[in-house]
Amino acid sequence: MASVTVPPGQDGPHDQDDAPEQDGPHDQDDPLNQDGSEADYRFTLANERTLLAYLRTALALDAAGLAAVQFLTDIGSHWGRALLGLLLAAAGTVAATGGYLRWRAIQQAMRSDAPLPQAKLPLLLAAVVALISVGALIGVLIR
Amino acid sequence: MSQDSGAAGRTSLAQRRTLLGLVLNASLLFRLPPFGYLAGTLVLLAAACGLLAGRGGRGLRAVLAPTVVVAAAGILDLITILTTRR
Repeated sequence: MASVTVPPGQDGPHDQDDAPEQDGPHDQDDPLNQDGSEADYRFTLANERTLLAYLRTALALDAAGLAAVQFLTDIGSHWGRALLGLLLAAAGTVAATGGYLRWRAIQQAMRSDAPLPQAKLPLLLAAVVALISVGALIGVLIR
Repeated sequence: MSQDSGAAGRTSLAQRRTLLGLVLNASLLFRLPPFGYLAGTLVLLAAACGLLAGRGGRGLRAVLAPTVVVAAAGILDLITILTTRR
């Protein structure tokens, strides 16, 4: 078998095989790239990190729902645990989809140089988490 | 230049933390009979597919893939909780 000499720098992160095909910031098929101007890539990446933080919050809510059904076996009835788990998992689904919609709205606002949209999702998530925390506190105190 | 790689590196680490959250979610699903194994396996497969789909991307696909995976995991959690046998 003939050996192939790889030029320096071709086997690192800039390798042609690892490069994204055409889904970068200049992808014209992307509906978000149709209007406005390209936003600063650092803000674009910060917006993406915010979305990923929303997704982690969603996963934590999902995991809390599953853990409530699985481990709170000596508190309340099965349907009470299932209701708590359903509330948490539903909040996780809302956080994932709402986080994506917020990412999209912010991306469009940055591209058109408009003010950032008002956020209702943090208030909703904070209300759900506060409600469940108060319920957990009461559950611990009366136990 | 160091700021460039810093922003990209932070985003990459955030993607990996999200993947770890999916693995934790799947491990909890595995313990819920009778469909927990199936749901957990689906979440793990979806996590792998989402990671591959969003790999190295910067556009819509890079954020839509993990969002779809996490939302699907949430729906699987809902179904598993509703069908858990006690």
